Amino acid sequence: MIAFVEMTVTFAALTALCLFLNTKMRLAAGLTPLFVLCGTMVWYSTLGSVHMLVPAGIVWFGAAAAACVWLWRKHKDIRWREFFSPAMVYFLLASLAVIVLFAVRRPIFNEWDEFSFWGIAPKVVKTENQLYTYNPGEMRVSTFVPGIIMLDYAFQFLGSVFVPWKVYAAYDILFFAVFAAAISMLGRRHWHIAVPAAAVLTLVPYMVSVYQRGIYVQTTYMNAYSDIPMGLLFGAGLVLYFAPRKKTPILMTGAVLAVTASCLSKDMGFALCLIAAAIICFDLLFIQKEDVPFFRLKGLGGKLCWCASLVGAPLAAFFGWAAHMSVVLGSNRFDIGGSADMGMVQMVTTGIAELLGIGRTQKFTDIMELMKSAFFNTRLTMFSVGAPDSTLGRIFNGSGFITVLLILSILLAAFLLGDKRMRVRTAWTALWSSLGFAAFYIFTGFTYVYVFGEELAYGLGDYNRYIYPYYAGWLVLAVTMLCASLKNAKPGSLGTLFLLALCGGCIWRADAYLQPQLTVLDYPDSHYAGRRLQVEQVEAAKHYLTRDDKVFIVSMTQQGVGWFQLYYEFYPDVAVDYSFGAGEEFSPDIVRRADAMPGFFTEEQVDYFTSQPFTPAVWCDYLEASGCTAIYMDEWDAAFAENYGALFADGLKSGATLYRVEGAGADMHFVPLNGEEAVS
Amino acid sequence: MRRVKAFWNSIWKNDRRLVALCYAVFLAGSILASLYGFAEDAYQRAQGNVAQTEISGAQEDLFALTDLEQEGDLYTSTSVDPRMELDLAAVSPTGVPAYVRRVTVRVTFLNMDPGELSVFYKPRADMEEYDATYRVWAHKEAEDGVYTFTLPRGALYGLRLDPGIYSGMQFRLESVIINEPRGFFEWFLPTRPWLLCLAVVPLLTASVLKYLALAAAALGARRADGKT
Repeated sequence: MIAFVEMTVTFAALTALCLFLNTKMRLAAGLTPLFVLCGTMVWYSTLGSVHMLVPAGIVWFGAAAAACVWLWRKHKDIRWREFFSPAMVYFLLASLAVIVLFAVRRPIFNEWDEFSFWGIAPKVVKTENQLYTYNPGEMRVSTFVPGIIMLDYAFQFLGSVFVPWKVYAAYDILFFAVFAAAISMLGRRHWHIAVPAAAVLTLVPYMVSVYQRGIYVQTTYMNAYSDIPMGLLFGAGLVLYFAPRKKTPILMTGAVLAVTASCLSKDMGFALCLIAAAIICFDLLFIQKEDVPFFRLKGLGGKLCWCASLVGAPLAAFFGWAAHMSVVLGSNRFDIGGSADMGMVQMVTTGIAELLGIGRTQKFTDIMELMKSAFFNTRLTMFSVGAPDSTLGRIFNGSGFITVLLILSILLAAFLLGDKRMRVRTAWTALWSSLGFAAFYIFTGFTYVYVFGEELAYGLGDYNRYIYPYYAGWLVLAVTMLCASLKNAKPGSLGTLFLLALCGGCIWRADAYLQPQLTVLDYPDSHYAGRRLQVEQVEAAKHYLTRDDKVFIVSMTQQGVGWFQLYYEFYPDVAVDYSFGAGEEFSPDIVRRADAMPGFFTEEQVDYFTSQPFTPAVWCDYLEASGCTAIYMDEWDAAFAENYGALFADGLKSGATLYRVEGAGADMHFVPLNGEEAVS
Repeated sequence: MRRVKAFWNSIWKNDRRLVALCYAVFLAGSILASLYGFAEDAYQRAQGNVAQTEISGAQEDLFALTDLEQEGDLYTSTSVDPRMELDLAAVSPTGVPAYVRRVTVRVTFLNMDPGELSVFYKPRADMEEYDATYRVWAHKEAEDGVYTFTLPRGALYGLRLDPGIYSGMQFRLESVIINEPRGFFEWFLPTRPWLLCLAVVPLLTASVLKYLALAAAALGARRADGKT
């Protein structure tokens, strides 16, 4: 209940800032949530990078309080009718619905990368009240850009403990802000356009990422992965710019904030935000006829200054984060490592050279062929019809090609329905966004060639997840252009029915692919059964441990996912050893790797533990050297029990999950704390 | 009559009235659908097609057990995928296909939470295996071990209860009740999908009607222009 109140207060503060922007700055109501949220991401990221996260939060809420005071004094200036436009009503209702739903259902993290970064990072930030780079603990990834984590923090700021569902709510509120911006040009008179457009937009995260009717819960709208937010933030800058016809300085400021937020969403966001910035700059310089003053600078000079801001702000964010990484983490952002061990610039130049045929390797040829084939044949969206084996199903197969065709057809409809200016604008935007997609697609190909290992590269590992962010942003942009054209189109023309047909099609596909009980709407409690049991067990184990303890985890799970989940659950109450990343291998036959050793080990210690098989005696030495005082047994197999069982006082037969490390050297043994044989 | 006509005409000119009408129709439709559900259920029960059957958990001949050991009403799972397939022909007055609207399970889990408790069903005669697409989860009524599963209306060719997802799980199955009647007001309880439909369907319908009205008006104006 308290979390619900905290979330509602934060949301009310966000709404107050929106109302202020609408009243004072005359920014269209539907654009204000996106403006505020992008500003929030940039604000918290900037101050967080200089170790001032708490002041950032205080100022943010102070600004909201100041906005409330200002609005109270100028309440006669508030244009409520204009503020409650269809876009704003959609944003408010959808956001509040999500807050209520999550407050009731309280979803928790359940996916692999939520434990490796997207869930643990906001927990670390909330706990420490500083950016995760300053005190990452045992987080294995701490170099990711902070924008989305800072958005999470903004919604976690009120409250004393970290609440996972607030992360999901923050993501969804951002989504709704982007969608609201896309229909922000539609006034109350155009509600009949706004309704189907909002329905299409709300389905976009599903449309671009679900390609089959599954039997497990589809976690869209309750997932902390950053791919969909990154894609929508790519669209955000474009939507902010293209939604209203009149380009004002406050609107341009919003566009600058949005492309910067896109840059801060994920590393690939940098490429996407530059594409968005380029499209906006072209329109501003060559299509936009009216002045867009930059402070007092008018004419071409003003426009050039806005262009410089659109490119300069993300560049500043990119290099700023590189500098932060260098100073705080001592790592080089430009060194992307990977299979070819290249720098970022070298990867791009080598890729372009190979693309042009200069020094082209077989691997490059093979992977680019695979990328080409995947574009036509890999199913990744809901835009498919019929059984995959049927003729119709083979053509309309939900591939990238079909998705691009659909997006271009929406842009074509926008072109046909628009007036002369809108036609020019739409045509150029369609061209540049298509070229941007080609560049993005080829760039993704480069990452497969130069960054990924052979197996992942030739299997195009996670292809869908890397590609669909562009489709998400592009689709939102296309719907924005369509709405902008429809606003001024002749009522009753056949073209105006296109949006309804699109909406009907999306609902039809969503109905075919999604079962309400397997979505955010009505998922069964059992979806989290395994995780809830794990949480219960960890909470029980914590009773036996103190802040002075350090736990070694045995979790012979695939890729060591169990370790990441347990680290998340134990944090911050009990210190957890990296435990070699857990994983399926735990036997006296293996030799441990140096990169799995604690950072505080001396060279001699690292040499000692990496130069001999991991026998029970070596494990005991490791526990002593690393300061581990307890062992948490998550998953192990019969071979483990055979090899190491003698170290456990109960021979691993009492059902205990927690053991106290006692004795030293050859006398070291592990005493059960919570099994049948535990000493009370 | 004149008033009705005037109201009808005003709907197309007043957007608020149009939206309000769509909401009213949706709500009325929902109530009618619930009433129909109640009446149809009562009719089928009167005809004997839908009958309430209570199966004791200690019965040994009605469930085909997979990875489960039974001692009276005490069950122990021996794998992470225990299953209890019901002999539908034995509990249905109409044989197979059977008309199962509701399954109520009274159970006490002794040593652990079941994780997932779900019911699989076969809606078609040609289904050899159970399909995860045809599955429902319980709406737990209270913390008293009563799990209720509501199945889609229609004939079923198979029914399977999956009592949990852990090995070594022990539970006492008091009873399984097939087709326990729903109270009158239960037919009107809103579900989350219905709430979403309530928010979206009337608005979308109003939007379509508005489009059609605008198209008709534009067409009329064009014709009028053509005549002049």
